[in-house]
Amino acid sequence: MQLFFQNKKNKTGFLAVLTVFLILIISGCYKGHGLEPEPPAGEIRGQVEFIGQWPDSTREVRVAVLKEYPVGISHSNILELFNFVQNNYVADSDTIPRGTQYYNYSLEIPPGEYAWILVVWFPDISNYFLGVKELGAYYEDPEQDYPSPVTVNAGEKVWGLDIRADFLNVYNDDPFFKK
Amino acid sequence: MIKLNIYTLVIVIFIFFLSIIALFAQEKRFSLKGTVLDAETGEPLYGANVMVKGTVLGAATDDRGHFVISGIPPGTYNVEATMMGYAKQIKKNIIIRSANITGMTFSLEPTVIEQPAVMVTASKRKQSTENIASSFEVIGRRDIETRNVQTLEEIVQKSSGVNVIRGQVDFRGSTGFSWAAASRVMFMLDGNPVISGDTDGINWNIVPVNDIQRVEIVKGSGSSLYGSNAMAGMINIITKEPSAKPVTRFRTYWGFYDEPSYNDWRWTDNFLPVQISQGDVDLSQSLTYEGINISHSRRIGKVGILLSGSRESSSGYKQNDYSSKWNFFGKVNVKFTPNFTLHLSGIRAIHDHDEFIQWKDQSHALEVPEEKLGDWVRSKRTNINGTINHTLNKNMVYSVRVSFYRNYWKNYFSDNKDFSGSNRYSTEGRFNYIHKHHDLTFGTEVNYYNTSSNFYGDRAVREIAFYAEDEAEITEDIRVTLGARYDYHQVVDGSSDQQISPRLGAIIKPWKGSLFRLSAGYGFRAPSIAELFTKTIVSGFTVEPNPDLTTAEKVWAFEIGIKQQAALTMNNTRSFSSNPLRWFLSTLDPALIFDLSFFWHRYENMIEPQQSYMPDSTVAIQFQYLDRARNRGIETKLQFSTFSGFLRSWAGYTYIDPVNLKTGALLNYRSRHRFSMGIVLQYNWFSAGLDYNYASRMKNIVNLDGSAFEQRVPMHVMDGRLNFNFGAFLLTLECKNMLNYNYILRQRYVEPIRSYVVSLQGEF
Repeated sequence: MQLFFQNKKNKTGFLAVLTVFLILIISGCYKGHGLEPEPPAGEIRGQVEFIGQWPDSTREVRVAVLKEYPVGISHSNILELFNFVQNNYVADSDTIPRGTQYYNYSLEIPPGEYAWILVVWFPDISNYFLGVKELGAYYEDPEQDYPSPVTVNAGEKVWGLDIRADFLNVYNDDPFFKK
Repeated sequence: MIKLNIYTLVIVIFIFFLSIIALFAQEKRFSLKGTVLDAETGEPLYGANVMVKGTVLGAATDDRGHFVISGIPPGTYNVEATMMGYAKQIKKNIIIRSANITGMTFSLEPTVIEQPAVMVTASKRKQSTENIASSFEVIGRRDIETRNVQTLEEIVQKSSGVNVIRGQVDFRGSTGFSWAAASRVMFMLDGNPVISGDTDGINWNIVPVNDIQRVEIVKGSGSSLYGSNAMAGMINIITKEPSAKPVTRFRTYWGFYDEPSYNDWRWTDNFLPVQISQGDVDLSQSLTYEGINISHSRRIGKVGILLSGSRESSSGYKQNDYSSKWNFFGKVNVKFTPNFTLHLSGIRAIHDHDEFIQWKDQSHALEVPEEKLGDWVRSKRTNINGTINHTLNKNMVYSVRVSFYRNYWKNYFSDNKDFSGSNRYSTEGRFNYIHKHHDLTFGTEVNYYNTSSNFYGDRAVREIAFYAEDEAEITEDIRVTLGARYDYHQVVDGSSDQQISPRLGAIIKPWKGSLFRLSAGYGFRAPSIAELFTKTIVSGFTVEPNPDLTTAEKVWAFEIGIKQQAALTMNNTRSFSSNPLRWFLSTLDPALIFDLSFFWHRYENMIEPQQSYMPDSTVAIQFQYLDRARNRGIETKLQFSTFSGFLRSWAGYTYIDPVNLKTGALLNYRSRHRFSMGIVLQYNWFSAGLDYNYASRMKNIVNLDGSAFEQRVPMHVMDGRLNFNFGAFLLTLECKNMLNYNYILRQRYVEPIRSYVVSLQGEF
């Protein structure tokens, strides 16, 4: 085995550098611990008001949160649309009981800004993704063209995110983007 | 469609080589014998390269520092000796007329900053590192030993711009994470490809760390010489050579994991610090990792032998994280004549390990879901390599290599019993011809790999390639490299594809200590069998095949770089009172090497895992083409030495901008910023070292069940160590992840928490 360390005699330099070295180590130890066991979740709450009759062809209805809103994605390209949904899916609620007119939802989500909080309707067919429709989404101002983004900070409860879900949208040709 | 018969091709290649050999008539030749020594200590240097300039003739020194170069025709030569960590020495105008020369002695001066002298990976031949037009790194034996790494992965990960996520290596953002289904980096052992035939994946456990002499890393497209898989670069593991005298080496280590940062993550009381605090120490139950490697090397006549065996095990720091490895490595060199050598090597590795695919939840991040408890994997690997090197005359050397690599693994999961056995056969014939100012490398390579698996089916791939590259010395300070490779790739009973990969490189040395480099090249990677045919369900995630991946992914890669070396020489140290500035500068005694690269890569049909909606209304992971992607960035590295070598340090920073040009989104599993640094203090037999690695938070990852929006943090990892050198023995105490910083590199998998390890290595 080769001798690793050469014999150099420069104690001044050695001590100076050793000091810097120790300072680096000690200062490094004050860093945080990175990931935390309890994710610093936030919470959103609101009420869904259903307009119209629940269609017999309903498989289920849920509230869902997506990171982005699909601007620029073709409505007719169902594959592209669902790939978008999969890549932006954050959380969803339990199935909303059939026939409900008012439903209070509450979802824990990671801190961040979310562009699309919506009510999703799934048809009772085998390939149910093909018939999925948006019944409604959260709009701070009903006159807005796009759903309102919501910012949730760690531990923050954001309430009052009410959504109007209209079953007439089940009969739209386009799956999404209908108020 | 061209039908290739692999056996016919191999025979044709051998006949081709034998024909060329027959063309060269023998002439009167002489030999040159000598010794290479450390100029400061007078100790013989092992592994120094001695080359007769302007020829292919050369030799490496044995452990007594001796070298013998044979087959030198009469003439006048310059002879150069080089070694990593030493300044090169040239003896000029050595006249060889009518007799052998003996007793030539080189005394090499150590340099304060360790720089590699030659490498073989960039051009498939021994090449001075001053003439390499790509970015590269060489991690030498000293670094490997003093850094006290337990795995090859740890060695590579400490290089600037290199990241490894669960075994998958990424150079400068070229690769994200694809569940080890592909590799854009060619991985070789002594120049032989050792990537799996099914996944093209890298198996880091293939060779024990103690048997590695150095690791060569070349960044940038290498397809012009290495074909598919080298589109982002190459890693070549150079193993130790058998020694001239009998030597037995050993290395053993034992480490334990600290308790996790949070009580919620303390899934057992068997963390050693917890056992100590409870007064109930039971080492057989503690969370530890340990290993031992013993190797013996000697030469018997013309035959050099190295045999090595390793046993390593780890309880892991997580639930269901046990690992057990056996590894046997052997190497035989036969020197029939000084100019005709045979190298054989073989590996057998068995690895059983529990599988931790994803955590139970973030509050129980070191635990698996209950139904996954007891899931484990067995893998068995066999690698056999043979190489003949024959120096025909002072201008030409050829080599023929054959290699076989088998990788078998099987899941023993509650819900998955997938298995795959793949064989990779590879043969290559290569010539190196030096004539005047040209250094020409050309050859041909044939590969065949087959796979038998319950979820790929039975698949096979054939490849044939031809390549040539010329390095021309335009002036003493300007060199230009031009080369290209043709590859034909065919999935048996499937698609076929062919590629031509050109490359241009240039080196300019405008003044002493400076080097400008430029390279432009085309690279490609054929889709792996795993990307094409995987159909399985693991941990609830469905993976679907995509046979539409019929053509290779491609890249145009450009790089310009500059390297500058500088040192301040102050011969007379004055006292502080007489001249404070001079005293300060002479005490500081600084030397540095600075390297800066700009790179730009344009991808076409880049293949990445995507979460997709399948026609049957399911959602699955599938490997798909991204239409176009681009990656550009800057990499800089500074090596610094001061206080007469008491302090050696380096720092590297890499910025990348990898973008999907269709969507404008940052590519998945890439960190824009990476920073790494290392400091070593040494004083006689003692040294202390500190390594720090930072990577910025990955902006995008594949969104599995909302995981893309779960907490992700940047990476901060600091390792510190103390080394005590007792002549032939080295004792190391190390703390890994000193900050006990918790982070993930892919979803729901916490990287190793803080651990302490003691190791002892030596030879007798």
